[in-house]
Amino acid sequence: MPIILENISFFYSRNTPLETAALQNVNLRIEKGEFVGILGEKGAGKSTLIKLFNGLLCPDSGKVTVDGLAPSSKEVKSRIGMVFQQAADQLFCRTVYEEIAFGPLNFGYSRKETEERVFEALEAVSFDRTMLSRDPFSLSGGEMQRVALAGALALRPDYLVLDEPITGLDPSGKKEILDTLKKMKDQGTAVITVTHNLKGFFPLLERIVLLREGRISFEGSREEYLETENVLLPPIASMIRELRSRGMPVNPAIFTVEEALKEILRVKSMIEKENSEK
Amino acid sequence: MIRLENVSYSYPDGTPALRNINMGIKKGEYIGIIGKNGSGKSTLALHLNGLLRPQKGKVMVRGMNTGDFSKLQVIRKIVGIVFQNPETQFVGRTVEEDLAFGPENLCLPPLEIRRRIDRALAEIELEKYRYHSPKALSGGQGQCVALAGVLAMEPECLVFDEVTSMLDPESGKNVLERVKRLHEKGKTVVHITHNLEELHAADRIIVIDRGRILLEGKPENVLSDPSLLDLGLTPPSLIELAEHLKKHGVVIPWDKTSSPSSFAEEICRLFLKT
Amino acid sequence: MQEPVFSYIPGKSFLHTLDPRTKLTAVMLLGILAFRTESFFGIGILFAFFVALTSFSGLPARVFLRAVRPMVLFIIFIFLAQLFFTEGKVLTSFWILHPSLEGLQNGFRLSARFILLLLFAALMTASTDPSAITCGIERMLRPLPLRWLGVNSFELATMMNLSIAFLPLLFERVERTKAAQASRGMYFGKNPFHSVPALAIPLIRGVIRDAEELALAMESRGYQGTRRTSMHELLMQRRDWISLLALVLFAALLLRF
Repeated sequence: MPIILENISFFYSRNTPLETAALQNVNLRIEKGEFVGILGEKGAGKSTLIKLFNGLLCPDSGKVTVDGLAPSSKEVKSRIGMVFQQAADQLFCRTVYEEIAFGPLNFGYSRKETEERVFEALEAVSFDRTMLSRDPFSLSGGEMQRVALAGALALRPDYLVLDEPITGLDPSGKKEILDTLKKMKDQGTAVITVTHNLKGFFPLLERIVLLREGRISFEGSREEYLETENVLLPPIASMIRELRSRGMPVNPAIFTVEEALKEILRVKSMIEKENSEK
Repeated sequence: MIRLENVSYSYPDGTPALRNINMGIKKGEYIGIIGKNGSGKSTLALHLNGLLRPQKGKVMVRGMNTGDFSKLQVIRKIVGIVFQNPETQFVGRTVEEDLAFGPENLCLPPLEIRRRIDRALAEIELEKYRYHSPKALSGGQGQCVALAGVLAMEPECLVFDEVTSMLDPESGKNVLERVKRLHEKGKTVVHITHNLEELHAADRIIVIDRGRILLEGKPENVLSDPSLLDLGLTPPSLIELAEHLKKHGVVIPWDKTSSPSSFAEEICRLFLKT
Repeated sequence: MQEPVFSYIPGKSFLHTLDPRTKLTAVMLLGILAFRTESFFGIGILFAFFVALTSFSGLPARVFLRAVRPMVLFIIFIFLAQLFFTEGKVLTSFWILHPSLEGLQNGFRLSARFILLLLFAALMTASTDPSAITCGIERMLRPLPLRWLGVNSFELATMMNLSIAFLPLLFERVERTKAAQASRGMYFGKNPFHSVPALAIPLIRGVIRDAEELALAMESRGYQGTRRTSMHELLMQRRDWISLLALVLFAALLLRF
């Protein structure tokens, strides 16, 4: 069963002169096990959109269901793990253990069950158990973000929803988070992330939703995204597109440096072969 | 223009942040400083106009020591810093008020303050937001206002500390364009970042790790240096690709790696001429 | 996002062009007046005066509603307290409560005074740029020997400006933290002993971090907490003096009643 959004509209400051539409007529369906990227400029409605999934916001019109249930139900909240940007605003416990255990305890799991989940989540973000007794605020930004992620994973969510999870982290911090997300996806968790870091996420995304001024302006696979006009692309993909527009016979679905290298060398040897045959 | 001599600094808890740094910044130069989080690069930035003072060694700005309290105001008029988070840099309720903050501290007369606000706003092309709250602007615009707030003090040297890391790529690009333009107008620029892609246009790049200068040189040499990977820094993907291609006998000249289109153009030229 | 306390609405009316110091003095004077006027007639005059000023200012009525609304409970409370706990001629009795006629009058008087105070203050804040208000306060405080308290008027003014500028950021932070915790099953409103620390800790840590960053940015832009100029030129003009004079005359007349 998926997350389904039907004809969603959402307004801020409804019925005041400051009324602004954050989302308009949005239809979206997210299946279990997908890796979806939600792209768009600041103010396009990305953060508003994900807050609808677990009932943090309620749409002014339209309907949201998660596995057929209303998003405000407790059941849904435990199926959706949400991680926001700036982990420092989300952590408040004295130890990493308490921090990760906070979610499961809130949902009424036993001490034993909670402990099991904490260990599992800790492993998922590649921390060892010495981490558990540390003060979350003594950690680096990247580590804090991983603790926040572990806090969401401890709920064993079917859907992991993230808002700019790697913004502001340095390259190694980014890599840790991306690796964990990939692992979760491989285990069957749906990962839905708001991001503007295409370079980092592009190799992982299966489907892309692009928001513009509160409307979905593109939705499709990343291969389709590459073919779309007027969208931002990471440097490699953008270079490949340039090559294609200049008539080079390269495969459009190239996302990483390694793939690009192979592809360019393949084309090179192909051209050389043709030339020698002539 | 700025000289650091044997600068060392430790955080209050004793961990060393900078160890024996020696470097000079010439007038009109565009310097890139890279390093991962916690490498000491932001601590270094704070030393450049006396927000932090070295525990050992000294920092000289146009012959003035930043340890000399009586010179601090002059030094801060010469070297301005734009920080990472636009939100925590705003002191005013409106853009205009925010831009006035620096000149007010310099005790300029009201008329001159307004003139400087006009000029700074024209520079960032956000005149129409003069009476808006800076917090209502987008991240990119906000960072431009923060930049204008520093420009209103008319400094000779601008330090940018991770100014794009909270922005989306489009606004980041916009801010970088302005940095480049200010450099072309003769400002000295010190650009601190962990995004190596931003430093293609720098005159010189300094790599900092654990408080020491690890590498220093022209961007074409530093950005393709394999030791960056060990530091957890990812080189720009086009430069990385060019390095790989070089091993296979496809040589892309440095200046063609700056943008996807020039890169693609070069590949076509190389492949199709044969 | 709302700005809860100050709600400046730019304009070009006579009130807008007055010097902030004039308006500050006027609000203080009118406040004293409201609390010194005993008769309902006097209070009525003050309300009329307020209505007249408002029509001058061209400000919409909702500004004033917004100013009074958060205080409504408080005003009702003092009204009821006066009504029931003033000794005097008993109107009716039920149970242990004996509202008196004097109580009714006192209640009306006191709540009317508070409302007047709020309204005049709202009139000032709505017609004056907040930074001009702080600038005005700074100028008025400058002759006072605040150094004894360890501050100077410049610091005080900057502090006021900053708190106005930082309120919205604080609210945003609370919202962010709340959303993050609600997603992890925290239910707000059920148990305040549980939810308050959970909100307060990240908030305080966040605010301290923000404050550190802000302090650096301010210092970097040359702030030293000493003498600084202002982009606002404060100049008491003839109309300021005339307005103040008129107000003093008005006050004297009203107090004669």
